[in-house]
Amino acid sequence: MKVLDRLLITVGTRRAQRVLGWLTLLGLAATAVFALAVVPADAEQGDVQRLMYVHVPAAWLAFLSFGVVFLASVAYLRTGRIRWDRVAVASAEIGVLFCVLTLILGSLWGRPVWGTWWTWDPRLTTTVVLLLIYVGYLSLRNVADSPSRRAHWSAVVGVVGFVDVPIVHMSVVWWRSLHQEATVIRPGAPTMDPSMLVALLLGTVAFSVAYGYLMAVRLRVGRLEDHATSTVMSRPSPRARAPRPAPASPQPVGGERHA
Amino acid sequence: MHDVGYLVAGYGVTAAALVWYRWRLARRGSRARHLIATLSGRPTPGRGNGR
Repeated sequence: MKVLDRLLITVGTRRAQRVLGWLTLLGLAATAVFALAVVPADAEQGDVQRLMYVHVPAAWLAFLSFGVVFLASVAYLRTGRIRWDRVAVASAEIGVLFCVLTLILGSLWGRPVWGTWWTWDPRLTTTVVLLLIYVGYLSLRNVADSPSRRAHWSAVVGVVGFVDVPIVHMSVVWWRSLHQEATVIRPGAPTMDPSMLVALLLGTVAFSVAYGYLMAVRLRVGRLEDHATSTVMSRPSPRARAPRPAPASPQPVGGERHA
Repeated sequence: MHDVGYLVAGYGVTAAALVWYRWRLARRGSRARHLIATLSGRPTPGRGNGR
């Protein structure tokens, strides 16, 4: 916990964020150059296979993001510290972004290879379910009426929702699927050309740095938004600030009463 | 040639999504900073003073 605390403080500094920002740009540019110009085209699929170098890292980063949501949610439920709720929601937001990217890139890849933009394949369907779980997670936060209840409900969804991540990963093994099976994270050596594997790992590192950068910025924005909300809540309402009416003068006994 | 269109779309969407999210975070941050400054009666802080 102390190591994580220190890490959060370190990436929260502006200097660290600037360095991460430049590393992100550099990593993504290097991935694009390597994937589009250096690695040879696939013998069967041709150039369109080069979408793998962004599709697969986006999917892995979506899993990583939701893994961080899971860990931060467990940490919140154990400690009750609002910092973990901030980490969880930041990671969920970025995970949704990567999950949407995964589906769009998969669709762009599937059209020329499978002949369709979309099919209710187990891998695709479980990924859509995963996206809906975390869109629901973010929507739920607008429903809760107090910050502590919001954090508590979100943490429960963050823990339960993670169950779908291993299901997405194993879907190509458990059910008959149009989607190809795992080629890197599998028993035995990766079934991929070494140069393609290097490009894929480079893409994964670049996306991971991008995730770290976006997390650092999103955490800073989250702190600012919480501060703004608490500032608004601590202000007295206009009714409370209005001058109180003078106490009514005692009515004379037997005096005239006005309507 | 057809494949190049899918490639451009894929890499373009990826770059656009990351840039869009970063821009959105910048907007949310500056809005929160302005709100804090307005409510506390202080001048609007510049970039980087929000911590």
